[in-house]
Amino acid sequence: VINLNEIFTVNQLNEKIKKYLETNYELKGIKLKGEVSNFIKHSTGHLYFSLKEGEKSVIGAAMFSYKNKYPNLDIKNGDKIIVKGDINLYVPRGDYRIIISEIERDGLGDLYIEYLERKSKLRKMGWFDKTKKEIPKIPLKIGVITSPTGAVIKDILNTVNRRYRLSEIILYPSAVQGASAAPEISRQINRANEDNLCDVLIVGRGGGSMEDLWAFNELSVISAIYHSKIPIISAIGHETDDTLSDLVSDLRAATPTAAAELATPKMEDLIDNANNKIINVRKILKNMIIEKQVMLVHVAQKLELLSPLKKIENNIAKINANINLLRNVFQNILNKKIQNFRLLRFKVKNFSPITKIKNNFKNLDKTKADLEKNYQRWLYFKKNMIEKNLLILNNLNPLNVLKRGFVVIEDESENIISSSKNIKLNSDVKIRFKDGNATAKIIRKENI
Amino acid sequence: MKNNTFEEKMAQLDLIVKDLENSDIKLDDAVKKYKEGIKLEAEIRKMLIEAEEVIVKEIDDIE
Repeated sequence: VINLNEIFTVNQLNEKIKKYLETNYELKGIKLKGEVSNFIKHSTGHLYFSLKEGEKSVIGAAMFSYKNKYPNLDIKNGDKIIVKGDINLYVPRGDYRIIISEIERDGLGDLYIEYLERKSKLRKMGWFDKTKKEIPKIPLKIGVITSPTGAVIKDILNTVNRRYRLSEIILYPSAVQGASAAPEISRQINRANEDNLCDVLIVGRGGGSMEDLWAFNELSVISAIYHSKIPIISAIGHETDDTLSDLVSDLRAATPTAAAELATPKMEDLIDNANNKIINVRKILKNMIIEKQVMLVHVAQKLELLSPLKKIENNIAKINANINLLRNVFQNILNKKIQNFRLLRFKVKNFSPITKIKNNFKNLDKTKADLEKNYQRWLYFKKNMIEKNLLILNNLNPLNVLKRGFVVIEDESENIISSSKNIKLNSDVKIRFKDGNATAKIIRKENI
Repeated sequence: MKNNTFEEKMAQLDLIVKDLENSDIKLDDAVKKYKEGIKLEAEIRKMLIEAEEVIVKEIDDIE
């Protein structure tokens, strides 16, 4: 029910329309076809663009990253697409737009088809696999093939002057758009090769539509780049614009400024490079000196080893060693002899006749004692005997008999007459008494 | 009659000692034998001393 007298606020109206639109099932999940323009890919991955139908109508469109099932779908301005989505109204602005859930391409443009065909043909021919030529680090001359009036040459001149003034820029002017562009570009590339003045070439053009950049998809330009003996940096359109020239060039730059930077060395890099070279040279020289010094030491050592003094020293050492050996051998022999001698001496000491001599001394002493003893005994014995005899002698003393009254009769010659036989008749005999003598005459004799 | 070796002299001395043990020996003989014994003993002792000296000297020389 609509109350005609009711006054809405703007917000109330927008909210009301939003509700109306978003609850209308006829506008849910609708399919819509159009051409992409104002394409923006946000860093969050959300896609924002407009879908237009020629100059007649336009509608805002958004595809949130979480809905995007085709992250690799390369959408660009001018692409014709078919989308599926819901209508949504953004209240603060009163804008309505389509929130896309699915997206697909709506056929392809004629030029794009041509582009793809050429691309596939060139790929088959192997032109994209060609070994890329190295871009010289410090070019003396840089050739630029571009429009003499465009921003490209200005950007390149500015960049080169800023970075490396020593490089000279040679401009090979050429149209970069329109029917004459392709032949002119290819002719200038060939001319630069014939001149052979430049160390590197930059083929450049500012951004534009596929039609604007079409010259760079022409075979003559591609062929000239492919066959160029001088390395080529391409700087065509924006980063998202792929031309076939970019694919065959030796290096692709995102912008002309970037191309100039890639073609020239940075001053800091140059200084670093120079410093590194100085350091390297110093290192090499130092190593060389060290190497030579080591060699010298080796030679000196060798020389020392080979010197006659060394030989003499060696011989002396040998002689000393021999002397020592000899000494040791001699000492060993001597030691053995001394040992033997000590053993012998020990034996001599122990078995020497000294013992025998000592025994003989003892024996001799005893014999001597015996001698003395025997002699003394003999003497004693003899003395004894003499005394005994003396006693007997005393007993037998005839004078003692006389004392007892006996007499001794002697003849005239004083011989004792102990037998009657020895007495003669009528002879005088001497009668010996103990105290004197007397003479008598024998007058008779009788024998018993 | 001269006996030179130590052993012969020693045997002679022994014999003299034995002779002196016999009481029947005559005085002249006993005195004579005693004198001879004393002389022999001195000779034998001299021989022993000489022999001992030789050995001691040898050992001293070795050392």
